[in-house]
Amino acid sequence: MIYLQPFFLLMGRAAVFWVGAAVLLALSFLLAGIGQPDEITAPYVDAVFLAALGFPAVAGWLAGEIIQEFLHCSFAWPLPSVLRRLASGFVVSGLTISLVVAALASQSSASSHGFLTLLALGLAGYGLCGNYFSSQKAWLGWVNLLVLILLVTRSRYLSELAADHRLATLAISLGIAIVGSLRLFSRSDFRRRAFRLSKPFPGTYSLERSVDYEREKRVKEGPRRTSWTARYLGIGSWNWIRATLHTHGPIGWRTVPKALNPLWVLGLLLATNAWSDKGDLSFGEALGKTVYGALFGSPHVPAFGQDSDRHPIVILVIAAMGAVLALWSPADLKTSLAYPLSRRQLATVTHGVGLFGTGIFFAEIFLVLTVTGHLAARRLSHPYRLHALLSRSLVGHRHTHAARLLGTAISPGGHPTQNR
Amino acid sequence: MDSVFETHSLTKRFDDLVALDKIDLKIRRQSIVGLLGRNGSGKTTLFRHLMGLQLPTEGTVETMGTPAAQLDHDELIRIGFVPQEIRLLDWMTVQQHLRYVSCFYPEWDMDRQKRLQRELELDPTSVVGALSTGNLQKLAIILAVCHHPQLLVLDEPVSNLDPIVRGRLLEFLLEVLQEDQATILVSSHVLRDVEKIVDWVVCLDRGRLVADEGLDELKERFAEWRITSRNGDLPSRFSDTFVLEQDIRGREARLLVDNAQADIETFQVTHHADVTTRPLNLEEMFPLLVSAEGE
Repeated sequence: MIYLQPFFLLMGRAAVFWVGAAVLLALSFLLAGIGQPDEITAPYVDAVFLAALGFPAVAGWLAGEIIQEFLHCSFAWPLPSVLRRLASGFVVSGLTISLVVAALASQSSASSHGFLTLLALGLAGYGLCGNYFSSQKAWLGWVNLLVLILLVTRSRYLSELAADHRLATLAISLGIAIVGSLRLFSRSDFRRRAFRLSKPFPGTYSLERSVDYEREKRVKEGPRRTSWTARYLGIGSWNWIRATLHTHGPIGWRTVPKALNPLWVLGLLLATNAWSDKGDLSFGEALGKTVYGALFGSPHVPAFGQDSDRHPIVILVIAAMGAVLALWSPADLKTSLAYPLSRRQLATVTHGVGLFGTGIFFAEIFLVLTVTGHLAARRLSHPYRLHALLSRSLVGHRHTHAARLLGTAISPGGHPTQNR
Repeated sequence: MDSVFETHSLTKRFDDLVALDKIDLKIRRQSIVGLLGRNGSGKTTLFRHLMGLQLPTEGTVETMGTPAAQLDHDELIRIGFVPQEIRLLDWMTVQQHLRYVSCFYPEWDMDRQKRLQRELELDPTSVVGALSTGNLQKLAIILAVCHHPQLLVLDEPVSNLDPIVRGRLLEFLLEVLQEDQATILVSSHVLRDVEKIVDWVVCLDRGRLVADEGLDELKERFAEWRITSRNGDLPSRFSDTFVLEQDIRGREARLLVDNAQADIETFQVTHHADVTTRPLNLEEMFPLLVSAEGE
């Protein structure tokens, strides 16, 4: 136990419990929600599969975050056997959590998997999230998001695949768990990290640390061409927000592709969905159907017979991406501007910039969805339903469900009922 | 094994910048070595190589007989390291942090820890993230010495400490040398402090090794000569090769010389002058070491 002490002392950090409890609660609610077929039909989602994967994944993510933060501390490098000790604790904790979750999940009547498969899936989630979700590389972050979205939205298909190929699932899952863990505790990565700042730990936003981290990142990225001009000088927060926006550059045609970057995840998701469901349709038609269903379909107004309920999760994904952006954008403050600001001003400016960035993100998403919605509707010769798009974008799937319960038809006329 | 560190043609390049240029160095056991150099001379880079934190572009580095990149439990348990950029776990208290690090070392000396906490005036209940730079340095030093390291590497450990605490720390380092029979490698810009404890000096300038010798030898080598002419004004310039700096004012002059053993009698006869000599301290020697090699 003494050997594992360094790991468990780190995990004793208060923020781990707060953040962990919040995320676990959210995950539990999500799983409980999609596990109620009477309320929300989610034929693409397998709650047992997601539970076996998701709970260890959250634990792995938290453990990975805190270990990576530790490995960025300069005092950690000369500690004897530090990687071995942390790795042992990481593995023991992953095994324990995955064992408990797999034991519970395998008892479910809805489970189509054996205990061993669920255990291996849990370990894979633990190892994968322990490593990759803590990555400082932006592109890897989006890949992680894509994997997560695919796991949630295609979990039924993946679950069936896993049930059909048990041995392969075991091998792949354990492979992912081992590679993820090895990468987290790689000595060469540790060497690179030891004198670099880490991102602030989620849930314990530290202004000083963020500023330092951003400064280091900017230095690494090199000088930027945008210049901060005297016309932005002023004492009000709005001046500082404008100055920050100017130097950070979220406005302007060059930045549009950057802001739309997250949408490729959505595009890929829609494309895989269309591909797997295309049947006799051409890919274009299948994609049109998927996009149309995702944007305009509602549980009580079937756009394509019984298929209509399969896609609203896409809108939830958009909302989630927006929420992530809103949560993390404060760290994007151009820190060279921070010097003359008081902490209170800095917080206000940071918050303002975050709101502004989120607003732009949603406006752009809405624009893209409008265009793709029009294209999909034209392709299928169905009506374009802007109000459905608006309601979905703003409040997501729950709104439509609540509307049904209240007996309110969101789209009383003009919606297609025929199936292609 | 007489040396704790050994480098052969150690070279480190960052793109076009040569941070370390073919450094050949051996650090003897049970000595206190001062690593000197101007800002950006390569001191921290050398430290990082010795600790295996950076890998050389060319050449080799051995620490305690093992390639520095492969330092493992057996070596690390005998090493204490205080880096220049101290980054600790902000969310722990001082006491928790000490406890955390102590669980890595079976020989952790709790008495030494308590004594140092008391002498360096470090509040155990303070949260690390709220500590001043000086207090962070104190904590980092305590973390590095309580397991009785045989090798202590200190990269500018006193730069943010007040003179009183600095004095206590220097005394403690001498104690560590005696009690643990440790080798101490310390870099600092506070040369008066360094001079009090070191017995060997290594000096870097722009990545090159410009001095690697005992402090006593350096003191014998460099000196100040006060010259007074017996017959009129002194020449406008002395051309002797051992003269590094000269300040001549009429009949009197102040020379800094690189060869204190130079033949003073011959000099006196040649220039019809009286010479009085004084050994230089490290702070006076340092610019000479750097500029002499630089030129």
